[in-house]
Amino acid sequence: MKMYKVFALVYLDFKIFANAKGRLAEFLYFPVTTVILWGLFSKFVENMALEAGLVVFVVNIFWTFAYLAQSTVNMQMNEDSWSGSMKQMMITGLSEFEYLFARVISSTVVSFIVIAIMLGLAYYGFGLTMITTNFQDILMLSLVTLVGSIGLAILVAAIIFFAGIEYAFLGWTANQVFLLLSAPFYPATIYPPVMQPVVWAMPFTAIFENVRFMVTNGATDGALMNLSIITAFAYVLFSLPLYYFVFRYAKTTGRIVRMS
Amino acid sequence: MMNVIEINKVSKKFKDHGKKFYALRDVSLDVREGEIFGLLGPNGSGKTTMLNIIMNILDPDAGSVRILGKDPRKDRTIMESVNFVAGDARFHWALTVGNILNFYGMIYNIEKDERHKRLDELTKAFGIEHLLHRRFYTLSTGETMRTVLVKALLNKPKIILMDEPTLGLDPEIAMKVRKEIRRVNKKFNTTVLLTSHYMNEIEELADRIAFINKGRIIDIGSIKEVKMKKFGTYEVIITMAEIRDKQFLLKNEFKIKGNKISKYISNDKNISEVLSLIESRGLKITFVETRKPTMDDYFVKILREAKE
Repeated sequence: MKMYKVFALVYLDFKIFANAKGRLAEFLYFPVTTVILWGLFSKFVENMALEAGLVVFVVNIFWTFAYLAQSTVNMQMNEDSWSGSMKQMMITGLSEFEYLFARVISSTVVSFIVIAIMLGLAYYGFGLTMITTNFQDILMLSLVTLVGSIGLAILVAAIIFFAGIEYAFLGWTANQVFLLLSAPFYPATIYPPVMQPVVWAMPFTAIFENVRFMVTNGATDGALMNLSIITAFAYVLFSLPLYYFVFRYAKTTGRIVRMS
Repeated sequence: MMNVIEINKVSKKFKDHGKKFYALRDVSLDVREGEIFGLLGPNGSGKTTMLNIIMNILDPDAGSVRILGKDPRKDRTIMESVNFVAGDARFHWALTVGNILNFYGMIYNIEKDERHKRLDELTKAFGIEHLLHRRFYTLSTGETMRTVLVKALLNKPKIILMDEPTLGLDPEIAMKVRKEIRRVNKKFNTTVLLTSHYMNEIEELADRIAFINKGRIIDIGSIKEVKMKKFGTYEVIITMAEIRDKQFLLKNEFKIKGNKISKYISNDKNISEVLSLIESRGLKITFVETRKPTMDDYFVKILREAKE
């Protein structure tokens, strides 16, 4: 992997983020409003259902973080296609993994800045003290969420390269389905038994379960943490070769050219 | 002279509404170092497919492509010696000219100081130094093309692939672009592979051409050679002071129209022979013109023959 190619793409991404006000707003507007919305809700239910309010609040922060980490990777790829610049990039000898890795770096940087802003706002604005008391747990959960989101982003990229740019909408919609099936605000057992294996195969189920565990018990559960790490890395390990083969296939069918 | 692009028996099939068709069929072609090579053909003939395969963004079903002796599918770094110019080049709308040029400088691994030096030289040479802070999408067509040319020269490529480089440009800018292509080719010995629908452009620039139709190369050679193959003759039109000795003229295969006589003569025959023949009869010539077949004539003729 040629790192100068990766950094060139990261440079390009950050120039786009800085120059496109819409992207900047996307990074700040939804995360900040999410924290305010659910922070206020947690304050409202403080005397009725303290833990439920906190669960909804913290899970929403992780939800937003997961969405951002995944969608940033896919949206940058979509924008290369929509702007007609993918061909110009690809002919520089860029490999499929350099192209992907650059987007993972851009997304990681942006997502961590955003989650830091969200957690700061939650701490100072709504007194979410567990951010300091459980800092290591939250950091670990953030890292695992990031890995799971990147795995999902690679999977979505593979689907778009396979199916074509008409499926670019998966870049900002796929996460919703995965989050829906990841039992965000309730235990996985709430789903019908037949769906349980699917629910536990989701990248965020164990993470959300652990967030709820942390809110109620004051610390994360080791077994759940291990499961979430295994699941997140399984997504990456499964989606990477898939992405590679789909990219190769797309080069053969002319899909890459049509996306350019 | 070394071959910088070697295309060997390349075939590519695509599917259209469930039916497979050949976009390229058993195409072999060599482009020599330092030449400007024109790829001609009607719409849908396979030119762009060929360029995409050379650019390594499309894999052939069969055959091989070698760039500077290397297979770009196995050694991608060879593509750092190649650059691309498209008449319809686009970049992300949020990027400025400076962002784009810096990005390409970085992706070609040009050190920061060297990159700034080259950018400074090239943007001045192409008169776009004042555009560096402008968004690319706000540029005029001429400014866009100059920016794309600067981008194409940043990595000092050994080969530049050009897809319709003067598409949509007004004649004055198109002329400047052609002049620039020729200058770059001569100054840096850069090989240029060019596709264009403008036959005058091909005639002006190309050292050799290949004509591609329905995925096959049906003609290849220098402009002179291919024209010679299709048109063994050219027309000499002579304006006379007065037409006399008609029998002599007709006997010598001249056509007479008003005070003009014309005749097709072989490409290897000198016009002075024809003029001497007329003057030997005491006929007075007032004006002589020749009409040699143009690349437009060639394009039409070769396609007509292919259809037959």
